[in-house]
Amino acid sequence: MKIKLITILAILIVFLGLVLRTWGLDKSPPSLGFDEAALGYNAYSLLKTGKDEYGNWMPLSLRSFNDFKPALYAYLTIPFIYLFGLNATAVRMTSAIAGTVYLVFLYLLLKKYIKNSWLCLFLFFILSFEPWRLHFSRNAFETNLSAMFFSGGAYFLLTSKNKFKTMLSVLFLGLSAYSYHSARLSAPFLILLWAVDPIKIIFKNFKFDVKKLIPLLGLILICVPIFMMNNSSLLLTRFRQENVFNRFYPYAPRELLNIFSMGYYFLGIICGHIFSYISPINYNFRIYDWVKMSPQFIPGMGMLGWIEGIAFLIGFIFVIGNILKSFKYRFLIYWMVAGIAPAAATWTWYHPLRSLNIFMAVEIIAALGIWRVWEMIKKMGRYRDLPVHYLIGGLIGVIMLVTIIFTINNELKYSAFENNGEYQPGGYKEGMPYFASISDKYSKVIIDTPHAQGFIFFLFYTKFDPTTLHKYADLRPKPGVEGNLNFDFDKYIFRRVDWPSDYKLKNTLFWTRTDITDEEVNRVPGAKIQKRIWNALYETASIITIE
Amino acid sequence: MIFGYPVSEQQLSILNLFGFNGQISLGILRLLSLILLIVAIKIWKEILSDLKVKNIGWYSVVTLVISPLMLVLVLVYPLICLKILIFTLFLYKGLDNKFYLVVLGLILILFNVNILGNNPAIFNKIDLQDAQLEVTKRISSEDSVRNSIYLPLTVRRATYNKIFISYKQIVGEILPFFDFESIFFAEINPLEQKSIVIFYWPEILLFVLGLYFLVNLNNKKLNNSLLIMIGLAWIDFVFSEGAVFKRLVLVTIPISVIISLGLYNLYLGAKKISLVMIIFILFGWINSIYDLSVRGDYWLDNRPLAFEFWYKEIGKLDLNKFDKIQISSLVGDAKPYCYFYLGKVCDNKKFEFNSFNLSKEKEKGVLYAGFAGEFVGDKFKNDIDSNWDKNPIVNIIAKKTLRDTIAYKYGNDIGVGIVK
Repeated sequence: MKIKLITILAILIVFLGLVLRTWGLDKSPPSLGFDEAALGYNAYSLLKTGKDEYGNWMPLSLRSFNDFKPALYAYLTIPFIYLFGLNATAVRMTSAIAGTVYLVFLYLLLKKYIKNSWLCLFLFFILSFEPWRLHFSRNAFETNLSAMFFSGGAYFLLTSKNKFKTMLSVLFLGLSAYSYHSARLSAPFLILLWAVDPIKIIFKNFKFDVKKLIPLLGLILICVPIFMMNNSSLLLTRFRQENVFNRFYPYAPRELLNIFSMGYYFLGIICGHIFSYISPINYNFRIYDWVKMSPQFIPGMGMLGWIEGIAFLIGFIFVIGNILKSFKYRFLIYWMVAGIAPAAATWTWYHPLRSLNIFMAVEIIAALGIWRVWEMIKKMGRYRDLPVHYLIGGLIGVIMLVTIIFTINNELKYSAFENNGEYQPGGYKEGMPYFASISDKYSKVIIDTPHAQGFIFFLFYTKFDPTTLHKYADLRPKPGVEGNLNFDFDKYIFRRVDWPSDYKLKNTLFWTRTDITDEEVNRVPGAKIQKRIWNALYETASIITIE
Repeated sequence: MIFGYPVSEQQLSILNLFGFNGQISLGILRLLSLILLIVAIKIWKEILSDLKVKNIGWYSVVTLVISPLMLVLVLVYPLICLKILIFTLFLYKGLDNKFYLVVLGLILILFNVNILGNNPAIFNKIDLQDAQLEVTKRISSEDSVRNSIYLPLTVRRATYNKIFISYKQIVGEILPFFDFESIFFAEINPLEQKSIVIFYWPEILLFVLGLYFLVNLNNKKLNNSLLIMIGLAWIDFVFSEGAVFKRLVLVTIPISVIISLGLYNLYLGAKKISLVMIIFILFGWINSIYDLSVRGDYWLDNRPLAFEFWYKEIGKLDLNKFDKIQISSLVGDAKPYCYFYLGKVCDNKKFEFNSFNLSKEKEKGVLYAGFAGEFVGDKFKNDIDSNWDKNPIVNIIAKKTLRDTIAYKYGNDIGVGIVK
């Protein structure tokens, strides 16, 4: 009976998780980022034509902004676009569903580590609403999809007692590699560590079963098609742009660099990249510039809740202390090492997006920390008839539950205010449908947008016909080109509007900034401001026509 | 550079208290700071002997002694050396005595607030003032978003109240204590944070190894003692302000034990690897000493450098030629520094310790010492012309460029000059 009740409650938590991940996806975050728009438009193009935005037939990687995004997310988004149309809800739904399925693996894995069923359920409830879980599930992130598959693979790997489970783990890890770049290193690395169990080999004995490497071969075979595609060298484009060798970063002092100190600092940087993932402050309060200036930024919070940050450290000490006692503790360290490896190879110090695969291991370690604290509190017992242990445990529990309400409020309402800007540029959703509806009347359309890759918002929100776009694929910046990838095609021109000279144009439609005043426009015969466009916070664009 | 670093504000306050000035008294004060630290470390060694942990006493002491932090404390922060001594003394006397530990906690708070003059941010969080501001800001921010998702006001009010937000802010003051970047990676800090190196980066590997041995040692007395020390260091951190290395200074002591446990056991189990680790740490030590000697102005406060420059330049001149000598007070009270460098001559009414702006008001016959922005007018983005000293108003006698911006809008150049 007890087991059934707990299972029902766990299912309810998953259901609540689904509601919070899918509710109001078109309103919060208030607008799409350019990567989200790119995934959505490519899915739309695949749905309509079987080709991506460049006209490549059923690709495994989307060329997109010359960053060759893994294509699985776009393929999984096709049914939602078919059902809901090309909009924010459809694009984000894949991530929201992945985030919900992710919860199932979280619960299954928690059960492996926390034997007290009610504490396990409580921890499941708390961890289901971690800031990062809500944030990454409500945005279209390929990495969230990848992390879900990765955690599934890790779960089946840890519990594999038969061939079926091992095959499932290989399948899930393979899907993870098809979803996001970093898993292409993490997934095989995890299987390798699982198979070799290096900590045991170093500290206990040198026994090693070569047969355990078979799943690794299976994974490599599954991933072969990714590297067999025509432009496989381009798959490394992202690595070439971001690798740690590319920028001797962060702050090795130029004055001191010589052949000896360079090695010392370089190893220190690599070591720092790795250990930044056990520095509790990084999970809570410290926000690095490269995180803040990107869609992965969670305003007002870190990746984890505040208590969980400290609990992680306690859990980490527990795991390290018991690392030789049980494989399941070593597995958590292997999971973290494998998940961190791709992020550590890039120039940034701590990068949640690139290391998202580790976060379930981080949560399990935090859960172990909370369990250890609860065991310590329990030992306090009663003091003069007062159940001190229940009072303290209850107080911490209440604080954690109230923090969940704050987290939900923070993600659903407050984030919309803070994240509005370069990475969530509003206005397109509000203005582009009208803009598209009148564009047929004009022979020239000029789009002036300060946002990087502004053309993708135009394509997305006007539901631009992919077949027409494919005709202009040759005009687009070649692979390898970075920076602004806007390109002109048909009657559409993407450039800055210079009103003192552009007012002379005839039969033209402008999407432009708001600093062109009514007086300036009214002075020109035939010119009219058709609409001022607001994003979630302020006036952001104007639609101007000259007849 | 590091050994010739000028007198700091903290040293100046002590010297002024006893009426001493000049380089000799500064040297004696530094010697006293060194003695305080040596005594503290000696006591620490005794504490470790009592804890009955085999052979790690010396490892821990060496780990502490080679930390650049200790060198900087001796040279610049005598009061923090005193705080470490008080900390170790109380631990020696009462590691098993709850009363002593409570008293030590209170002494640390009082020391920070009254003697070091800190105004810890946690006080503003406890009195709910900051919480009220954040509640108002969050609600008004959310209400300004058009077409946002609906959440019932009761849900929002459940956490948007002074109590919860205050809890959040207090946690925000407490948690930065667990900052491995500042403790182990100051050499290559990702935030460009100029925190003095506390431990060298290879020591984090020994720290993690030490954690393993600590858990498996099952030495309850050691575990409890380390927890108490970390707890007290945590209190000290929360009730202090300023550069992070000064706030984390007490936690270095328990961490040195964990690092030592790691190194000692590594030596027992894998001598060659432990040798490699020692070589790495020694390299870090040599590199760090060299770094401090060539880039002292990168790591340490640049304000004393400014005062030293001004007064040394003024000291070279015949002061009778000037009607007035005006020294900038933009970066702190210039008068105590004047006594230190020039002695009683600073009582002369000719001396004025105030900021000035020669682009608006200037007097002939006055010797000015200040920032470039004070000579030619401040600039919003600190964007002072590099040829500021070649201007028609002032004749610049001497100038120097500081590494850090210590007076924003006034440039990084300082100088001494007279109106033409």
